[in-house]
Amino acid sequence: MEIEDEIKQRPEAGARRLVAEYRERLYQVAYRLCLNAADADDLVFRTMQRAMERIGGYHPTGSFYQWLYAIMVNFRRMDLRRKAANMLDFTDELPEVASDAPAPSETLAAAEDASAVRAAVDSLPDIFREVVVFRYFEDMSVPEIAQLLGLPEGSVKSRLSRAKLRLRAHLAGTIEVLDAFKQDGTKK
Amino acid sequence: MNCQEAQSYIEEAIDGSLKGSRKRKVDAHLSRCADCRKRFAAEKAEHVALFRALKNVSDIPPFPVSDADFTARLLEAIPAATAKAGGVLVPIWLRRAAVFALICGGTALAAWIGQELIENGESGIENDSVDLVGRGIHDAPESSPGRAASPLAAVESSPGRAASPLAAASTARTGCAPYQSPESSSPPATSKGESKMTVKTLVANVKRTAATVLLGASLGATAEDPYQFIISGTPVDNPRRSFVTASTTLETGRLGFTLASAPLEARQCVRLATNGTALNSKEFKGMAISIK
Repeated sequence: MEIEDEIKQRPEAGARRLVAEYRERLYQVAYRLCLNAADADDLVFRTMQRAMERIGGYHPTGSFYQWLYAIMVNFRRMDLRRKAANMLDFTDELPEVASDAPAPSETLAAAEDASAVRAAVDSLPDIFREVVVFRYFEDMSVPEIAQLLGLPEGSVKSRLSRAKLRLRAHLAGTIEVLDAFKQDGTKK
Repeated sequence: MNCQEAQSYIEEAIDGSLKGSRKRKVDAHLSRCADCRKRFAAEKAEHVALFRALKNVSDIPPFPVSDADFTARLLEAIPAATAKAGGVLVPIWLRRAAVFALICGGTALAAWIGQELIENGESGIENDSVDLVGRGIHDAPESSPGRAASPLAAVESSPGRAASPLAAASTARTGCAPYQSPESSSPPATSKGESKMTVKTLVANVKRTAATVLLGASLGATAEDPYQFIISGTPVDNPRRSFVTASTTLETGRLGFTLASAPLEARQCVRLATNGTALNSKEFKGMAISIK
């Protein structure tokens, strides 16, 4: 039985299956988005709750994961808007990384320590981290990410490109000044 | 197709979504442009590095809540599932009414409030109006600084829990670390000569990323005898860090005033300290704090 049918017909069993089969992967993506376990777990919870409540609206055109991710992204954006309304956030005001950032092969691909790459990803502003997570953790294509995030494909590519510039700069150690500025800003 | 156009399709070329005549044009360009071939190869290598790095989940901590608890909460939050399971439904409007009653009628409800009680917010409610109500008071914390060490036990054993829709809506298992407030050990100056910070209050475990703290209570503060409040927070994932979020001085006692609207970090414990002399009174004990 498909998961959506099970949730419709036997909600309790459906919920157990939803948690057993989908929670871990959803949580991993949520963690990469939220960067802490409690928020990630909460995000997954709300996603699953909404999925169960709206299961009638699921039409299997894409994968069930993609449908869940779409719900998750909406909640995440809502949280970020709420946060932005209440907190000083200089993220959007950060100057762009210079266009003469190091070329791909010199830094990111050469980084032998995967944890350094993850740390660089974690340092990305939310809108860039979002595309990076779906691109590289979920291995989604540009059109899939565009559909998921409700963005034109050009915007997805633009964000990916800018994200990678930042990642390269971060790994090359040239973005430290920007990070210091960001920390100062958020402390105020 | 020139180099700039070809490179604009790098991402699609890597993920295989480049199709048809566009793919043929890109391929044709690559076949005659060594620079672009090099660039595409470098981007592909970078793609693989990122993919490998992110697929490695060794740095992701385990679930904070077990599958069993998570599922139980989920079932509780889904009316259809709960109905099928024979559970009792508590409509959202009723839960909100209950919250309002708690805020306004804190005094009357003081009897069933434990000395400390953490309630986690009902994460399913999207509307922010009543996302979380935390209640709790240490009325003699200085003689028992370690009391906050078992907040969950206090929740579990609270006599009012079973009867409270709020409590029924809350089953999260994330607790706050024991409170070791820098404010209480070094109380700020107040206008009350010999008074000192005597309350260390474990208030709420905030689920949201930002919060407004509202206190509903009838306090005996006056201009001559003002109460100073300090809200401090400690992120759950870093219990050693504590910071003052907001402080305010209250000169009048009234019901349902807003203490402070302050940004709070995600999932932190929020605590309230005051020098108010009504500290041990029923009014103060009955104080409700809502985070929204």
